[in-house]
Amino acid sequence: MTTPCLVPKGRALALCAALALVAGRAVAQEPALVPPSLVRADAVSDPRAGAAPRESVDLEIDIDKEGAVLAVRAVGRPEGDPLATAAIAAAKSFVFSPATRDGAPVPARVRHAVVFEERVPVTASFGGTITDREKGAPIAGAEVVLSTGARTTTGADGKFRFDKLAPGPVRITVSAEGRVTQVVEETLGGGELTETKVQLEEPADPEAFGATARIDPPPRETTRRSLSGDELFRMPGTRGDPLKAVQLMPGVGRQAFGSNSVVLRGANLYDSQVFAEGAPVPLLYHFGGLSSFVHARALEAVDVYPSNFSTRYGRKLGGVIDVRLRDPRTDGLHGVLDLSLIDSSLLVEAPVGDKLSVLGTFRRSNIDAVLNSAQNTADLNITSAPVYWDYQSVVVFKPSDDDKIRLLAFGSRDRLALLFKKPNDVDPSIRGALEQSLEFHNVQLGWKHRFRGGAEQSTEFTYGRTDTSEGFGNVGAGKFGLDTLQLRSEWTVPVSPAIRIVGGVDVLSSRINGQYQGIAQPADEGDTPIGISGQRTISIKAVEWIQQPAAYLEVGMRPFDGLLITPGVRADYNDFVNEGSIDPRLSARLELDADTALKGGVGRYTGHPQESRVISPIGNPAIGLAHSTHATVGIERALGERASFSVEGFARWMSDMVRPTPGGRPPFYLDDQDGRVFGGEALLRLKPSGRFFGFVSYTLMRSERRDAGDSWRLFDRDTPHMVSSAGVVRLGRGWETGAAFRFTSGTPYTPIIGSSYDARTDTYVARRGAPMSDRNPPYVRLDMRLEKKWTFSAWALAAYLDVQNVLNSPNREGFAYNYDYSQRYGSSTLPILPSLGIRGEL
Amino acid sequence: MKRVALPKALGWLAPILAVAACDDFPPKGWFVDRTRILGARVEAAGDPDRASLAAGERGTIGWLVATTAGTPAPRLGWSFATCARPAGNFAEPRCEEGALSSGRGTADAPVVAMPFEVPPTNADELLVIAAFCPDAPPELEPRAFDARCSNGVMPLLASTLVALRTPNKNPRIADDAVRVDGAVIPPAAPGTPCASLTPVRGLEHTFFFRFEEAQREPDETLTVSQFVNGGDLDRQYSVLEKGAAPSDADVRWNAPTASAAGVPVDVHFVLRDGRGGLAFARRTVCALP
Repeated sequence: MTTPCLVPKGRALALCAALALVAGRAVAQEPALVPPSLVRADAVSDPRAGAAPRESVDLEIDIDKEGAVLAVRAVGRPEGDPLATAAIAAAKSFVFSPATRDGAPVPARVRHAVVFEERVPVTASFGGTITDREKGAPIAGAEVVLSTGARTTTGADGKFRFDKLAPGPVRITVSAEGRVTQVVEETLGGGELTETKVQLEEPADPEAFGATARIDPPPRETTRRSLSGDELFRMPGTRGDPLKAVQLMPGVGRQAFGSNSVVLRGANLYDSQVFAEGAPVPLLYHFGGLSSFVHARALEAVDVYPSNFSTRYGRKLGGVIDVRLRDPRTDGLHGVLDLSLIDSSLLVEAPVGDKLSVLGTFRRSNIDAVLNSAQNTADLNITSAPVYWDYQSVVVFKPSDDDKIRLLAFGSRDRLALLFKKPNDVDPSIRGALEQSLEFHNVQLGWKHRFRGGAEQSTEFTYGRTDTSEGFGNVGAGKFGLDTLQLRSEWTVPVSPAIRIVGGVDVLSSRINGQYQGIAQPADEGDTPIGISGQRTISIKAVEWIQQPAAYLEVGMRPFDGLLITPGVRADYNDFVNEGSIDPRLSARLELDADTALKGGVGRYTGHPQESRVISPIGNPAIGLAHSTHATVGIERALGERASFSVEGFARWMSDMVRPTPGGRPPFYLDDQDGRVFGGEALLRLKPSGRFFGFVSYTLMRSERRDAGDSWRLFDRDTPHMVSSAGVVRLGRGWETGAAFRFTSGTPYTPIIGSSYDARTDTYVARRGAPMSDRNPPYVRLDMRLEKKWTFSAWALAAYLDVQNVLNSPNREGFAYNYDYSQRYGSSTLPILPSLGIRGEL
Repeated sequence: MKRVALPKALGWLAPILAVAACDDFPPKGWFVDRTRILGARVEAAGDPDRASLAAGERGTIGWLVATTAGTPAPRLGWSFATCARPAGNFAEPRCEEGALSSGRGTADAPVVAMPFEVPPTNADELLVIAAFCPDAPPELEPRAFDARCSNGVMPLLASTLVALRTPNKNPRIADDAVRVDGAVIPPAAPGTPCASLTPVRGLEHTFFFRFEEAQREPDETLTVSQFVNGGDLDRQYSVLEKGAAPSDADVRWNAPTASAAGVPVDVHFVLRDGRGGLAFARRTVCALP
């Protein structure tokens, strides 16, 4: 006898029980035994991936007199069989009506078969049309290659189609003879056909910019400004340095004198962070801006997030710059040798077999060769002129189409040493040998895997070591080492064509070890003490471990075509201040038509304090995390195929920021400073295509700070107006020229209104006026670049002249004062600086 | 990797380099182009060699005043206030909590002596702030360290610290420690005629200051400041570093253009031990063509 079959909700679940012994007795003895019947059965999840045949698992189920399942066993299945395991797990939640004998419930044992139906994989189809951009005519014979390796060619109607693809993101490379290759990214939905239209264009001429155009998917952030391709190393005044070109972007303040970072939308320098492949690096520029720490030709792209960055990043209140290194080329041996007055560099890359490729760069400054002989005077001896070097290496191994393993190593060193032969006439503490060095090395191992179904995971493990050394006579001397371990792991799961989930962890562990004795570090923002002799000295010896774990989750939702909403949340913890944070963030992007998109974002951000502000005895252990709220709204519009225009308004409210106590009194720092930034940016951009590219941008902004109990005052890097423009044109016959112009309002400062004499040290103490009540003159700078390139069959040679500050604008930034502050002299930034170089490319 | 945030050099390197880069900006601190305070010597009552005092002890602060060439020493009204040295790494000299003691008076330059008594305090150091007005009494406001001269002239403001916990002695300058072109310059009273002063002929000369081990206590770094009210000095400071063997500090001096009658030039040497001890020597030479 068999029990009736039950197939709940159309799912392949059958109930077939045999009660042989019990049923036999039931026939012989009246009244009959009533078997248990299944009243509730949840769906059984099929553990198999991909295609699979129909299978059945027989279960033996013990049921008590209440109808509850006591035990479940699989019959005829080996131990650990995944189907049996799934069936047993599901059967344990079954509910039966109890078996009865003479109307009384009794325990029972039943046989039950769980059926797993044939599994047909959910596949995606992808098709489209390739047309000529100018004429609109279909292009036959165009090659379409997917990142999965599949390829096809278009028919006479310009159409192509792929079937039985795995759902999820895919990159499509479309090429045709005589046309510029295009790379497009799409997300394929399961069980449906995704269609695209790609327009290819003929290169304007052999010297046109942009052999490959890249179309990124909509960003997770409200504002992401990327430099890639020719923009990376052709900007005038940057000596081909893309991270110098970042300063031309809207919302990016001009670099402060002596600073190795930039101001993003009115944020403190410390509140923004530079990442290389997701790992923080201690500097952006060598020696206050001569050059950035990474070779331009090793870069894939530089992304600037001036605010409203995604949950992937944290621990900072301001903005983020992420530097992405590219994979080595796999089409043979290539190299670039660049020699200039300022530095020399070499890049070499090549494939090693079919699955491995390597890239390495090294660069060293040449400044010492000039300065060591020219700049030594009766008063000053440059014992070691600014010397910097940096390196990057990338090794890529692709064991399969779905896996990529990258080993990165990059580092940098800056060193400067001076000897003041006599005490300075303004302050006798300024004497003796001055030495400063900063060196860091990072090693990163990353693995990226694409799962069937479209999910992706990427994991990077980074070890970093930074050493700083500094010393100057009696002013101060210290050495610190910083070891960091960082684990980043991010999963991207396309749940459906309309929903994509991104989750990850970002765990940073740091160990600081070192000592310092000397005058205290001046404030990062606001007034900087000038007199040195009268300052107290501090002393610290520290060994600290700091753990900063974080996790984040984002959901990209497309409720309808054209709208992308990305809510997210990031949780952070810092055991040094013993405080955590949960930051919700939201961004949205609405594509009104093919050319226009509205976008906006709002989110909470948490800043972790500098260790020196917290550590005893030089800081305040009671300092906690700082917080800010970012809000951005804007509109983007494509103006034809090459140009785009965008306008954004932004605001940032900051609280609990760290500020020094007046006069540096104990506890030295307090976390009671507020800040607010309001502004707008406009950007007109012409992509590298044809013979010209460039952009012009304008930023209107106001950034203020307020210490507890005080009124609002200007941020010391506040620049209300910023205008940037850059353009590069290819003249033909290998000639290329360009110019970049930058105008920014002068930064505010606190005027000095008098002084008093300090008889203990024979120096004068400045007396300050109203904070930030005066402003430096505007900053105006014009840079130009001229390059001539000779192309041979196997290699190319280029000679270039890059001139910074062609107008030799003094660009005063602050003042130097005479001994009693009764007279002052404007401190100028870099004068006109030509750099002549040659570059060979293999 | 994150930024190394513990005391990083760039923070103070920038202002240092900014100041250092301005070495050629006139006027220099060594040139006395107006009435100026050049130092303050603290002397314990009955023990002028001692620069440190104790609470309740009496002492004197002698402020060295220099004037421009040919200008008679002005009569200065003065006022002072004392308080504990304010806390803080970058503390400005002010008695924010109010003065513990104060005094006022009038004196003739070149040394304005202010007798005072150390008030009861647990502080390690006593801050003394002072205001000076030519021919008028100053009104000193100690909380803001501001002052006003009753005759409307801009007051001179100066401060110093008196060591209360750490014993310290004033350094000494021997009479023959100061020379010009190798010749000892004997002291001369203010107003001495040029013909009676040490003559220096021509433009290029060298002042010598002889550092001696006896001038300092163990582990002290000595700094001598040089000032002139005529001509150009090579530099203002010379330093005998802690542990370094004493030697002569030589400072090149371009004398001012002089008539046949000569131009008297005051030269001040102020020696500091970095802990509050101070000595000074005032000399006058006659610059001749």
